Amino acid sequence: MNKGILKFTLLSACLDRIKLFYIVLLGFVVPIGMKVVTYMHGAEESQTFEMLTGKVGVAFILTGLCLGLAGGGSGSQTGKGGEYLPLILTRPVTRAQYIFTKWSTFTLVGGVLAAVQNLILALIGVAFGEVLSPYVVAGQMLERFLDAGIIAAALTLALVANHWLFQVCAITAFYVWMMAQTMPPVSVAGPSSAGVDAVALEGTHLMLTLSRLIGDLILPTISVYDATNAPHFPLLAVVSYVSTIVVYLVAAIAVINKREFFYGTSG
Amino acid sequence: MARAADTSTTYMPRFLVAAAIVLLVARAVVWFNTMHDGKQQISSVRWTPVEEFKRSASLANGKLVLYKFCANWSDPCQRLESEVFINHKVSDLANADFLTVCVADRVREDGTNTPQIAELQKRYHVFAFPTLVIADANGDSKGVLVGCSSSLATYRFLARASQTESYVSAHK
Repeated sequence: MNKGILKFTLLSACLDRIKLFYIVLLGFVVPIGMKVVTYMHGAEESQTFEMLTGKVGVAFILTGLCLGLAGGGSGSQTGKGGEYLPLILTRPVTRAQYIFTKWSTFTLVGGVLAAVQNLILALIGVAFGEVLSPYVVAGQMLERFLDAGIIAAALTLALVANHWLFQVCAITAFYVWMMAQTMPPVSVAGPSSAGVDAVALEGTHLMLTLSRLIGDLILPTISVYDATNAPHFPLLAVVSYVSTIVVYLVAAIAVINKREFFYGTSG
Repeated sequence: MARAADTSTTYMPRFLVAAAIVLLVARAVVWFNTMHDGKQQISSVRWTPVEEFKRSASLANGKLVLYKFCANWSDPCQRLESEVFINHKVSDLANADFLTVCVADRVREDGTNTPQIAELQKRYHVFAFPTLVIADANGDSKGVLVGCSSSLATYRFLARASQTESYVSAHK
């Protein structure tokens, strides 16, 4: 861990008004508004709500932070995408330290924001009469930190690996993963269809199945509620989660080690 | 980590590379074992087939009815049993506070459903499997959850309906 890089990343995340506006809007205003409306009007909570308060919510928050870094919004960043690394790495710091510090800071910021959001939503629920045990709320908050850990690792790799082909694959994979989060697994009722209907149904089914498989491969998550209440320890989920984070970090360090740095001004 | 001044800036931690290889192999082994385990985990929820269910039982003990609309061919229905209702918090709540009724669709197998199943599907507007419907003793819907959601989402769905019912009963 490098304190300078940690401070730089935290300040970069906190001092950009557009980033803060995006995070406050999507991370807090929308889900909290939806929750209050749900309680006031007795409406059913939607899958959109589940999305915004779960790992997709964490992904939105972290994407806001990380894309902000690539956007050239402040003087210390380049407009070509990616942080302006030459100035940071003129200090004698190993690139592994740089990656670890970036990942830890993203995890910390994303995890804290998402956990606070979950806590506020739980308190609103309790105020409206919902009975929630502290154990469930704590489990949800821990889960948001775990989500933040893996999404931050993926985004750290995406930030440093700036080959166009990798970027295209990463963006495509992110949207494919997101697609599977928009609806729970479901089968359409009714008799077997034929013709165009059958093709459309099978196509959708195939797309969602593929999307879930890719999601399990690139962003596996651990459900704390399942891990603590299921009859067996979720070994596959834990091993998948840890292995994916380690692979992303190794890949990020390997990629950044191969980049050439010309120390000097950005001009 | 070693001090940066003593190390090349392109230093790659070897333990991390070794950990990545070991964990990837472990993931492949665990995944392979899980896929070839063959053991279908069955939840402890006592589902009553809809043909054997009497609504008068709900009236008699004041419990809500939890209908599980499903089909044998549907993968998400099997996941609901093996991943959601296997969670003992969810199954304990379902067994304690609800009369659990399984409504198995037979259209793809037999070409048609029994009138009882068809009537229930029509009443609760079931268009996908699995669908969980919570109904009171009069058959009025109190909540619907479509698809195989997470165990926590399912638990909160059941708990909310159960708490609302208890609150209404206590304030009558």
